[in-house]
Parts: sequence; C-alpha cells; structure tokens
Amino acid sequence: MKKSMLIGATALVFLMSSCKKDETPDNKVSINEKTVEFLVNGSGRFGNYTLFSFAVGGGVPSTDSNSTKWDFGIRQATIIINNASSGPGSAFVKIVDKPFQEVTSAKLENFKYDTSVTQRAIKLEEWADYNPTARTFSPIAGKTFVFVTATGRYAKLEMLKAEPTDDNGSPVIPPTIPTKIKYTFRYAYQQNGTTNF
Amino acid sequence: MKRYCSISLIGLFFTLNLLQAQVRSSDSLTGKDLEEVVVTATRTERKLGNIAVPVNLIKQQTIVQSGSLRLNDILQEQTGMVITAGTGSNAVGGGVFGNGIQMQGLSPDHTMILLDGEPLIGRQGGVMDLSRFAVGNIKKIEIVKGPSSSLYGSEAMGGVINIITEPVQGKSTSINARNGSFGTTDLVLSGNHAVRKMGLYYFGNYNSSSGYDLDPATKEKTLDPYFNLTGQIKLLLNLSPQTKLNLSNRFFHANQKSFYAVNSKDINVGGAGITSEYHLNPLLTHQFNSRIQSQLRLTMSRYRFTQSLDLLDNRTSYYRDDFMQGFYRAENQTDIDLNQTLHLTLGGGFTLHTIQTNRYKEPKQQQVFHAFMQSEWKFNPKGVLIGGLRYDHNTDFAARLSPKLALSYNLHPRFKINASAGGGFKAPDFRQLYLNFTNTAGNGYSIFGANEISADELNQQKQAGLIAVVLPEASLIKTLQPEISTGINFGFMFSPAQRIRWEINFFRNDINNLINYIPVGINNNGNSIFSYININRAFTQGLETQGTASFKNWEITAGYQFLLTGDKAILEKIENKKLYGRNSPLGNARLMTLNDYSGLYNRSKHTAQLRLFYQDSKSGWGGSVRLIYRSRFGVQDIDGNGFANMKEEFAEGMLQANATISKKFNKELNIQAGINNLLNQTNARWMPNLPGTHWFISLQLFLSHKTNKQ
Repeated sequence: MKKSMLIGATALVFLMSSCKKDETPDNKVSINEKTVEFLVNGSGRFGNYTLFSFAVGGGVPSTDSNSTKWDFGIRQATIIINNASSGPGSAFVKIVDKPFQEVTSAKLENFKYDTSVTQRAIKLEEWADYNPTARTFSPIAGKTFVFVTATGRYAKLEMLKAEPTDDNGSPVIPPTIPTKIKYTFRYAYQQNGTTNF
Repeated sequence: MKRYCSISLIGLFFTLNLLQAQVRSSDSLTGKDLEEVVVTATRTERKLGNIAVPVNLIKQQTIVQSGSLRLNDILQEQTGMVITAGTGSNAVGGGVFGNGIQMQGLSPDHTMILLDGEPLIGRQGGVMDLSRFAVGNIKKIEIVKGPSSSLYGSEAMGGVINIITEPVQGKSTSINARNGSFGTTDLVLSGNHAVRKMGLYYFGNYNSSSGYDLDPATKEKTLDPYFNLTGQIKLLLNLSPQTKLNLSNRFFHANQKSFYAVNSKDINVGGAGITSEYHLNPLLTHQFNSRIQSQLRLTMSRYRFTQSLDLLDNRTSYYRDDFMQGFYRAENQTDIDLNQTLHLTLGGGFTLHTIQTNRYKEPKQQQVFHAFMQSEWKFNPKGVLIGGLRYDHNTDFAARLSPKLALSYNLHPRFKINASAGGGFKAPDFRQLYLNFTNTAGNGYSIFGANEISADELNQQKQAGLIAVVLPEASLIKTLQPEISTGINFGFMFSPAQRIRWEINFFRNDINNLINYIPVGINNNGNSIFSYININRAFTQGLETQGTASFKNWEITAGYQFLLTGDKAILEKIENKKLYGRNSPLGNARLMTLNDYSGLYNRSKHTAQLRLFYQDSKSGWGGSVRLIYRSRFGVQDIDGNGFANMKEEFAEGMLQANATISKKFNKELNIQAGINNLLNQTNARWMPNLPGTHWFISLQLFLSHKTNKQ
C-alpha cells in the first residue's frame, strides 16, 4: 500500500513536473498573445477616444475614462495613454524598432506618457505611414509598442491593420468617408508583473 | 536585372541575325509608316523615319477601326502606354475617374498632353482625365517618349502626347451615330468646307452613358451617369501665298450626377459635377523666304470644375468644390534653314497661369517666360544630330534650364540607331504652392502649400497659441524647386522589308526633387499639419519593343514593355536593413530584401499588346482584334513600408480582349459593331474605369466625299 502510494506520488510529481516543463514555453506564447479587432471612433476631431484594457482583453466604456480600468485609447489615428494629461492611471509607452516576436522583455528605459493634449507620448508618424489625401494610414511593420499598463503591468503590442469602416465595421472605400477605424493588433499581456514576454 | 540584360542580348542577337539574312537592296529605310510626317519630336515637320527619339504614331484609321470613343480607349492599346485609374478628381468622389496616362513608368502628371501643339489644362490632382477628349476629330496622335522639356517645358518629363485634329481641307460632311451597352449614345457631326482662300472645319459630339456598377454590394454606382458635349471649329485663312491664319477653338461641357451613401445604408448625398472647358488658339504662319518661316501662336484656355453635393432629405449643402484654371500664352517660333545641313529652330514666349478655387486663400497666378533653341545638323547623309536647350523663368519658384541631345544614324539602309539624353522638369503645381486646406469633415489635418507657410510663420503661430507644436522638419519648408529628371533613350529600328518594321528602345529616367508632403507641426486638436517639400527620388527603366508587319489587307502589331521602377529612399532603407514587411496582413514582421521590392505603385512590370487589323477596300469588310495585357501592380500599403510586397497589396494582372467588325456599303455608309473586354475582366476597387464586357453598334454616313489634297 505504502509502496503503491509512493509510486503514485512519484508518478504524480513526475507528471506535474513534466507538465510544468511543457507548459512553460506555451505560457509564453499562447496564454498571453492575442490578435484582436478594435473598432474606434473614426473622427479626427470630435467625440470620445475608444478605450482598451489589456486586463479585460477588449474595449472599456468611455464612462470609465476617469479610472484605471483602461490602458490606452484611440480616436482615428491618435493614441492616448492613461496617465498625466490623459487619465488618472500610471500607464507608459514606448515604440521599439523591432518585430513583435523579437521583443522579449520591456526594458525599463525610454518610457513616455502624455504630458499635454499636444505633447502625446505617441506621434502618428512614429508608427504609421499616413496619406492625408487618400485618408489612409498603414501601421509600419517592425514597430512594437511596449506598454506599462495603468495598473503597472507590462504588455507589448503590434499594430497590423487600420481599415476605414462604417459604424458597423464594414470596410468603406473612397469616396465614402469612414466613421470608424477598425484596428487589428496583436498583443501579449504579462499579468505576473514581470517585464518578460 | 539579370533578366533585363539577357533580354537585351537576345534582342541584339536577333537583330544582327535578321540583318544579315535580309540585306538585299540598298534603298533607304522605308517601313510602311516611315514616310509619315510627324511634328511633335522636333516642333518641325519631319518624316517619322528620320526622327532621333522614340515616337509612336496613331493614325486615324487605327482609331476608327478600333472603335474608340475617347482618348483613353485608343491610348491604352498602344505599346508602353498604361491608363491609370487613380482617384483622379479630389472631390468627394470626383465627377469622373482619373483616366491618366503612364509612359515609361512615369506618372500622369509627368506627361504633357497637347492639342494641335498647345498644352491642355484642367488636371485634377496632377491627372489629366483623358476621357474628356473625344476622338472623332483626331487626324492622328503623335507620342514622343522620353524627356522633352527642351522643347515643351514643364510636364514633358516622361514625354509628350500631341493630339492632332483634322486639318481644314476639302469638302465633306459626315454623321456618326452609335449605341452601346450601359445606355451609351454617341453622336458626331463633322465637316470640312474649303472655298478658295479660306476653309472651315467643324466637329460636334454628344456623348452620354447611364453608367455602370461593378460592385453591387455598394449602393453607389461605379460610374455615375453623365453626358458631355464637345465642339470644335477651325478656320483657315490664306492671307497671301506666304501667310496663313489658323483659328481653332474647342469647347467641352460635361455633367455628371453623383450619388453617395454617406454613413448610411441608402443613398443620402447627391449632386452634379460640371466640367466646362474652352480653348482658343489663333496661329499666324508666315514664310519669309525659302529658308525662314515664322509662327505666332496665341492660346487662351479656361477650365472649370464645380461640384455641389447636397444631403438629399433636407437639401442642405454637404460638399462644395469650385476649381477654375486659366492658361494664356503668346509664343513665337522661327525656323531657319541655315544651309543644306543645318536647321535652326528658335522660340520664346510668355505664359500666364491663373487659378481660383475654394481650397486656396485667394486667386493665384504665375508668370513664365521661356526661350528655346534647337539645332538639327545633318552631319552626313546617314546621320543627324540634334541639340536643344530651353530656359523657363517662373515668378514663383526657381528657374530651369532643360537640355537635350539626340542622335540618329543609319548604320545600314535598313537599320537605324537612335540615342538621346535629355532633361525634363515639372514645375510645382498650384496645390503644392498654394493649397490652404483643413479637412473639417474627416481627419482635421491641415495641409499647406510651400508658399502658404514657413517655419517662421509656424513659430509665430505657436507663440500666438494658434498651433501646439512646430516639428523640426518645418525648417525644410523653402522655395520649391521643380521636379527634375534626366532620361536616356537608346534604341534601334530595323525594317527588313517595305512592310515589316521592328523597333526596340531602352530607357532610363532618374527623377529627383519629387515633391511630397511631410508633417511640419501639430495643431491644437492634436492633428498633423502638413506641407510640401522636394524630397523623393525615383527611377524608371526598362525596354519597349514593337514589331509591325502588314501584308495585303492585314496588319499585325505586337508590342511589349518591361519596366522596373523604384523609390531610391526605400531601396536605401532595404539595403541598410531598416525596412520590415509582412507576408500576409496578420503575419510576423520580417526584414525586407531587394527581392521583395516591387517598385513604385501602379506600375506593371510587364505590359503587352497584340493587335490585328483587317480592311478590304473591295468588299468593304473590315475588322480588328486587340489583346491588351498588364501584369499585377502594387496598389496599397498594408504594412507601412511604402511598397507592395504581400498578395493583398497588389491588383491582379489583367487581359483585355477587344474586337470590331465593319462593313462599308458604297462610299456613303459604314456600319461597325464591336465588343470590348470580351473576357469580362474587372476590378471594382483598383480599375473602376474598366467596365465589364460591353458592345456597341455604330453607323457612319458620309454625305459628300472627302477630297484629300494628297
């Protein structure tokens, strides 16, 4: 009986340890990494920023704008960060010139925040190629956003697509003026508070 | 690049072989068309066979047999010519799609378009919409490729297209009525009445269509219904045996009603776009003696495009656009035969450009003085050397000197070599200088012409609290330079027999100072302020080849162009391993290599045409089959690297097949039927100007016979 228990326990430990070993790399990739579509206000001047939370993994109502429930917000092509002039949180951001998969840790340097309405942490030309006459912009491949979230955790994000759409998220082409922009982005959210992705 | 070299070698080998096989008699190079007289290449009448630069000639018969209606119909079937479908008009949807022309890989704003030698105006966003021009009054079209600014000044970077209308001669009247798919109606009345010392040519055209829809998923039609009218009257007065006066005028009026579903499931915005155009061109020619001839040319052109769109439910204004352009020029050209071997062309003039639009702060104008000279030296019976130089002085930006050197040499009576090098330029256009535009509807960005703003003014505005940030790039705003190009063309023409001709031309164009917009500041709403600077550098290179053979009632032409283009800054970024891209929209970013680079947008690497014409004057039967191919071309940038590299960023290649059949009864009646785009190849998004399969039938009546002088 003792013997069999021992064997059973050993087997269990072995099983658990083997599970752990297998899971570690999986954790890194599949648990945190997600590709999402995010439909935002398409007006360059009017209306609310559409807010996103890494913890939620999606949008947050604009009524929560005065809270730490969101990390960043987008209105058309302008990105705000939940900190200082933009919100009560303590989010930071930086853009790294590396493909998403090559960014393995959020080095604690060069992070920025929105100091004022006009001095935002992120400038459009840093991450997108903007064509004002065609009214389109394309996220530049090889640029990765690294975030400190509003609650002090870390995330990395890669913009993949920015499509002009109507209110329902159906793509529109010129001459129709878009009312929404549908972003597709990939992100990895590190919940455990470390800077590793 | 490897491919490029091997093609040229094969070409050369092929030529030399043929040359040896075909040496027969010593008569001069006399391909079928080589005796045709062209005027555009040197601004003097020269036989096509004696021209030193690449020239294509489209004859009236080809236009008629192809069943073409508008200028873009016939140009797209020519070797090395591509019709682009940019968003053309900068109105909400534009009244019409921009049927622009791309030659030697240069964009539509780098090709000059002339009507009887005078520049046409009315470009929208740099694109001259070729569908504005009816072809019923065209005698021939001359296309000169390569930089020609040494004769024509601004815009003639990629080349010149000269539409030459019917001359005043003889007596004739003809009526043409046509009906076709999409409710297309086209009526032409034209005639020629010459009496002794004077003559009159008139042309009237009504053209209308109910439009078409390539994408039923959208509420908007792809092409909205329209009608247009064209009129031309040419008057010739022979004042004396040495002096003649030509008075030519043209008017055009188009009306297109456009409807849009703006943020709505149904059409809720609509209104008319109206284009009107007037062109008056007196030309006085005097022959002083057998050696000296002089011309005085005056041009007055006006172009206006207005569009007013309203919300349909309450009739309130949704969008207004008003764009008015004027062009006034006086020019003298004097041709002198110094002796048997040296011909001199001298000229100069003054041009006034005016523009008035709701997008600029106030009406604007520019004055240009220009002078040019060209000498043509027949240094021996087999060769001619041409040197030209033109100076353009503009009141609003830097002056420009454009040189050109061209050589033509008959190595063998049937084999001629052409080589030329020249400079081209394009003056900054009005929007690049004067645009004063803040997009209130969509993005809230502002864009200013280079003359409308400066770093100092931006700094003052910042101090006054009007704008938020002045970017360091603002210091780059300064007096705009013209966009400039240098082009080299080298080719040969080989005519193994009277009715067979083969031509090949290699070209390279380097374009500097291309004007583009950059962000220079941020306004109080956090949106970008843009202005124009000279920044981009690009090149186009490739080869163009065409073979023509005619026998009995048949004529066959095969043409091909291989084209490589590039943005030099992008190529440098790739070489420095700084440019990433994706293989699919959601794929991982990876470094781009030179193999991934596809060149400038809207350029097809391969274009080819095959045209077969048949005309039997005895039975009256005629017909044509034309195949037009262009390979895939980059259209959009999903991964932000400035070029097309993934499948989704390209428009697919396309093969158009067009055919006509015609029968002439007596000499008074001709009936033609045609079908275009037989393979029904369409692309609603990227080639909205190409409708699906469509047919037509037309009836032409000659009320009195033409008497041709020749």
